This record gives sequence, C-alpha cells and structure tokens, in this order.
Amino acid sequence: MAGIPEEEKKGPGEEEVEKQTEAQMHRARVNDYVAIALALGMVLLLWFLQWMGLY
Amino acid sequence: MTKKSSMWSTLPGFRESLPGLLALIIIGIFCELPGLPWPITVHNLLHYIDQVLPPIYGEGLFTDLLHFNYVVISLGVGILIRNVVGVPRSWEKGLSYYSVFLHAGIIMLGSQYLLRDMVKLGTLTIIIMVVFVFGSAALLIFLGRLLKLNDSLSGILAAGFSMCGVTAAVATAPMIRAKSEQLAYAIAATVSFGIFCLIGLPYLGRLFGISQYSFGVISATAVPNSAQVIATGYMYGFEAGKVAGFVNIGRIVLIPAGALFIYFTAMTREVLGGEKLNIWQTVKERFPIYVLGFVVVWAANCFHFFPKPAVFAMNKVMIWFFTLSFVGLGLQTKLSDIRKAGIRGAIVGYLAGSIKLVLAVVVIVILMKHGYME
Repeated sequence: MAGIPEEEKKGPGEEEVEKQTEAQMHRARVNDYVAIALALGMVLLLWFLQWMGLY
Repeated sequence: MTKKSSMWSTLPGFRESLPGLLALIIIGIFCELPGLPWPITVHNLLHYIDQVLPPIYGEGLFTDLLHFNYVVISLGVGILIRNVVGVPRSWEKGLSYYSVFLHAGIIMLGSQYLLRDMVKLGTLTIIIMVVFVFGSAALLIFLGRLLKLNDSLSGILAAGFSMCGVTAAVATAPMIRAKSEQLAYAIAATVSFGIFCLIGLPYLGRLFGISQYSFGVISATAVPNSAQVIATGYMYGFEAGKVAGFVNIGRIVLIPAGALFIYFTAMTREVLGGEKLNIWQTVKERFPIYVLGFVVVWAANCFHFFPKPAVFAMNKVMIWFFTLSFVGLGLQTKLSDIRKAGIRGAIVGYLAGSIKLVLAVVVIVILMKHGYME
C-alpha cells in the first residue's frame, strides 16, 4: 500500500458510495434479523395455536 | 459496540414508519389477503366484472385470460398508486419494510418444502443456476469492455443483472469502487429490466407451454431482482412461484462468491492500485443471514415438526407477507426509472439480460423436451 495516499485512491463519489452502501448493508442486515424474528415468531405461533387445538 | 448501535439505528422508528406500514396493510387488505373475511377486494371486483362481461372464447377476461392473481393485483395496484396518484413522503420510511415482508415470506416458504423437493430440484437445476450467475456476469463484463464502459459501471451492472439485482449491486459497489450515481444507475437498469420480465415472461411461458416447474427455474435464472423473481413465478402459478423461491435461495447464497468473481474479473490493476481484499471479511459481511431462517423452517418441516393444518395456515400467512411486499414493491416502482437508466449502460445491461433470458428459455425448453426436466 506504500506510496499511494488515501486521497489519490478514492474520489469524492466513491467515499459517498462507501458510506451509502455501508448504511444500506447495515439496514439489509437489520431487515434480515427482523424478518427472521417475524417469520419464526409466526411459525411458532401457528404451530402453538394448532397444538392447542384452536384451529 | 458502536458498530452494533449504528447498525440498528438504520432501522426507521415505529412512529415514522407507521403511515407507510398502515398503507401497506390497508392496500393489501383491499387487494385480498387469503383467509381474511373481507369481501370488498380488487380480486372480487375483477371476478364480478368477469361475470358481468360477456365471456371471451368461453373464459373470463381478468381471471382466466389475463391471469390476474394476487401477485398481479398487489403489484399493479401499487404501481398505479405510485405513478398515477403519487405516494406521500410520510409513507417512504414504512414502505422500506417491504423487503422485511419479502424475506419473512421466503423464510416461511421453507414450510412448504420437504426433503424430496430438494432431491427433485436435482443437481442439474443447481448447475444451471450457478452457470447462469457466473456466465452472465462474465458476459456483461465482456460487453462492457466491448462498448468501452467504465470498469466499475460494468462490474456493478454485472452484479445487478447476474445475481439478485439491488441487493447484489449494493453488496458489490464498495468493492469495485462504484460511485453513487453508478449504483443508482445499475439499480434503475436492473429494476426496469425486471419490470419487462414481470410483464412479459408469464405470457411467453404460456406461449411455449412451459411447465410450472421449468418456469420457476427460468424465473430464478433470468429475472434479476429477488422480489421480481418470486412475483414472476407466482404470476405463472403456485408451483412455479414455489420453485422460483427455492432456486432463488441458491442464487442469494452465491452473492459473496459472485461479488468476488466480479471484483477479480471486472477490475483492472490500475483502478485497484495494488489494494488487497480481505476475502473472509467480504464473505462474512455479504452473506444474507435470513437464508438460515429458511433452512431452519425447512429442516423442521422435513422432520414433520409441523402438522398439516399448521402447514396450510403457514402457506396463507406466507401469501400475506408476499402480498404486503408486492404492494410495497409496486409503491416503490417509478416507471420513470426506465427513462432514467440512460442509454449506453442500459444497452449493455438489457442486452446481457435478454441474452441470459433467451438462453435460459432455450436451455430449459430443450431439457424439458428431452425429459431431463419436468
């Protein structure tokens, strides 16, 4: 990496996209966790209701 | 610790998301959520119109000839509202939850499969999917070089068109030094190409008499965006949607490998300036965790953990989640994106996407004719 200053490697648009994509990737990861909680919660609820004989 | 708190801060708060979420649910109810005792739905209205109008060749216009099912209706209503009436700004935060509903629906899709479905899918389908992912990425990079496109733009278009559209483009962008306008451009190009697939592919499938199973494989191979893959599949039929969702899981898992492939093939040494990439970190950061949820539900179903009535109810709830996500997708689809995609990059993307689509149809029709595929 020697000899290549940071500002030469990344343009302003690239830094912006890095920040933007980092936020988007974090949001995607959070969405994944929420989706897992929602779906598994729903699966367990439906299984439990069936086990209780409610439908 | 700081990393974790910043990750959760990207999720919009409940109060600011409420208008959009309520809009999704209310529009979803009017489109039709199965099992919900609510008669005033667009689906029932179209059914009524079909009964009032004189039949065409003995069939109803909307339900039989145009095959307007819950996917077409929820997407169509969403697109209509967005592009005719417009969507208030206050809805935007809540609408961004559409991918949560989509992923929740994909996880619940696991309850509809058994081990024999995986065996039925077979190695052939998996090989087709892998070849099409890497082949179309290589083709797009080659076409990009031919038309003298910028390396980063070719790379990001390759990510969007060869894998899962928006998610793959976002995952690959920082690795290949894409600029924000290039990312926006690639997203617009893949989403707009997906709109054409969504509208045209089911009719093409019926024209060629493609089976439900094969159409599911075609959707998951040729359509770029995950949401559009599943929507295209379910537009054709329930079985096609199921297969499309299952094959698409494999494509989602390939995102880290695909991103690395694009990094090593699209980027020239001059652009990278001797930069080293941490491969393990790249794979870890880009692996879509929700696939594990699908595997858990699928494994539980393989061991017959869920009784039949529960599996039936899960199917209904899965359709609710998909309906909400398709309404959200429709409400976020700006038809002006097709214009925004511009010309040169769109030519490369559309050309590679069309070649991939035609090849997928030809390969699968040949395999169907020779009895290698259902």
